[in-house]
Amino acid sequence: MALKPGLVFEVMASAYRHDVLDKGMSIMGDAIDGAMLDTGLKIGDLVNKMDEAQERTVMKLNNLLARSGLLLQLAASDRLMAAVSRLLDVKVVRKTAATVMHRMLVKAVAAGAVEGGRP
Amino acid sequence: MISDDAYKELEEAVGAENVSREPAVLDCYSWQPFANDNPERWVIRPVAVVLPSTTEEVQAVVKALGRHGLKFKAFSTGWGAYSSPTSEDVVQVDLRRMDRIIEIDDKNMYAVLEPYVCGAQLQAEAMKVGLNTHIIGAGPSCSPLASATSAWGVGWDCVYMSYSGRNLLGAEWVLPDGEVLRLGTLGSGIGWFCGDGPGPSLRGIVRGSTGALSGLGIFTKAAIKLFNWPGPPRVETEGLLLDAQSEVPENLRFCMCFWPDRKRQDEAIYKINESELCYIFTRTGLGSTVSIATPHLMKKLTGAGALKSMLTKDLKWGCTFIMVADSAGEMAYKEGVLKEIAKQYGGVVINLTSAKPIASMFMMNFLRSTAVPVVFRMGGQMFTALDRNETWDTQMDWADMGEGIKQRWIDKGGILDDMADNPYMTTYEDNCWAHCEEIFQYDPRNPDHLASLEPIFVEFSVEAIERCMEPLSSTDARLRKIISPMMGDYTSWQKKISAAVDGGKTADTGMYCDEVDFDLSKIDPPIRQRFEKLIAERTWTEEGPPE
Repeated sequence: MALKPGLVFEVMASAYRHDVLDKGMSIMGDAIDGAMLDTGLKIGDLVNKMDEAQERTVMKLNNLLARSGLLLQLAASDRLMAAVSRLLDVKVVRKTAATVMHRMLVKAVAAGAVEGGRP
Repeated sequence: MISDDAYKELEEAVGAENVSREPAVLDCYSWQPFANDNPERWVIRPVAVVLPSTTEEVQAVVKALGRHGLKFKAFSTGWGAYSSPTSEDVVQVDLRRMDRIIEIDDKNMYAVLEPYVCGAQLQAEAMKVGLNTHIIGAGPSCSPLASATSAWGVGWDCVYMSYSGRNLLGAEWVLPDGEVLRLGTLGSGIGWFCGDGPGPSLRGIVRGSTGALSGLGIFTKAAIKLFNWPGPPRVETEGLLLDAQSEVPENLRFCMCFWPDRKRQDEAIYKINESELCYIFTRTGLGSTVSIATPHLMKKLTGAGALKSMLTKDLKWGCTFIMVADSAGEMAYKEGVLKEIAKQYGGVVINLTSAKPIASMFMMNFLRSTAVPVVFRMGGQMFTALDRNETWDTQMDWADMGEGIKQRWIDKGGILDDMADNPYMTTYEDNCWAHCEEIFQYDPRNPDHLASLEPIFVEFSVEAIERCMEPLSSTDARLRKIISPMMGDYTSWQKKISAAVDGGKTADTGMYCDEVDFDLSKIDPPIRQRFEKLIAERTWTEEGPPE
């Protein structure tokens, strides 16, 4: 399903209403901290890695977003967000989410290193 | 050229080691590509450069130049062509040896400075005594004295710390004839605490809205108002710019807010400001944030429809701000008010303080305004289109209009694609009035970009005049000649002020009250016709304004 204008905002608004955004920011902070520790990179290096993303990576992400209309519509539901929020109150869930995000970041940094950065 | 006699007098005034007419040294002052309307990388070369270290030396220099029919242009920390000579007979007075913070009066909340003190230096000292200083958007390396006395003065902290000209208390002013005038309470020998009186205030004459850019003399000392800083006396920071990691204090929140549409955004911003929540406040398009932090990624994103749409449509209406508090109770109150406003207008608040590495990177970039100059990264150069500071609504209209103009020039390949929505916006004194300038980025090596600069400048100027607003680039002597007669012939009054304090014409008045003809032949005919229509309809006659 194609992306409807305003849908991303609706998801964010729902996440905000149920405190998922705030909890998510904290998890993201822990994940970035972990990735910095593992890779020895500074925050500026991570930003530069993002800057060096390959065209195909950007387009992959773009296509994924373009096709996730249905998923985002589901995510915008207050009932689902409320459930996610309750889940994120559980310490193990928070820790697992941070670990998954942290590993994804480390993997992305390693992949960037293999590809050799900016063309 | 400077005569040997004149040069010798300058040597006598400041010492031979503090004067130069070496071409290589002079060229270092002339390489000023930013804000050069030519748009060459070089501006007019001064005939000599002189570095005084005291007010008395500045007086001696100015008097010597007057005797030899030369002009002066002051240079404190400099910012592009604005600090440069505008004619061939100018000596650059480089004030970098006058770099002392003379006094910080923490009880009365002001600092007395010399011209080469920079914002970062003053901020670091002020924070030690629980105070802070306004830092302009051009960055922390700029001189607070220069922006308070002589040039503009907007920054992200204006919401709390006002506009540079409003923060000027007493000042010591070397007039173009070499005499010293002391303004405000300083002139009555009772200290630096007030810029006005006893007696008539001269602050309006000193700078008006924009400043005389050295066209009325040289300011050698100034007292600048300071503001409350409830954070630590020293912010522990490692790294620079995007590598910066600062210890974020408990009583600081770094927030981004988004709203579903412009109407709700504007209403919410009025409420946020009326509630006095912010210490730093800006509305900057997400596209511009991406373009300064990740300029290579930006080039790839412009072709990625869904991501671009998310950044420029879904997340278009937003603002970024910092809140600080003197107590936990005050912060809880501010957070509660923000939550209520978000609820009332259907907004989203992202508390970036929860993501420690991100808040840690952005904190000093916002508090010290170090992030702003990164805008030069994408193409190597940028310029900006300003209208008159006015209400938030009018500034949002300017931002929307500017986005349209920019998109047309992006489509034509005249400037770089930053997704067009790149306004630098802030509010003054809790949104008593507001600011917007539309930033555009270009590559000075690209001839198409260089050829676009003048037409873009004129297009924005026409838009401003049509909206009955003065384009704030009216330091341009060509534009001034056109717009002054539409605005009560204000240049004639500036010329009278100039004649009163500078009978010998020793100051370089090129950016203050000079006027030169504007060659409009390079401008697209439809824009030129709009411009000519405005000139015909709005120029004042001797009887007054047109009907």
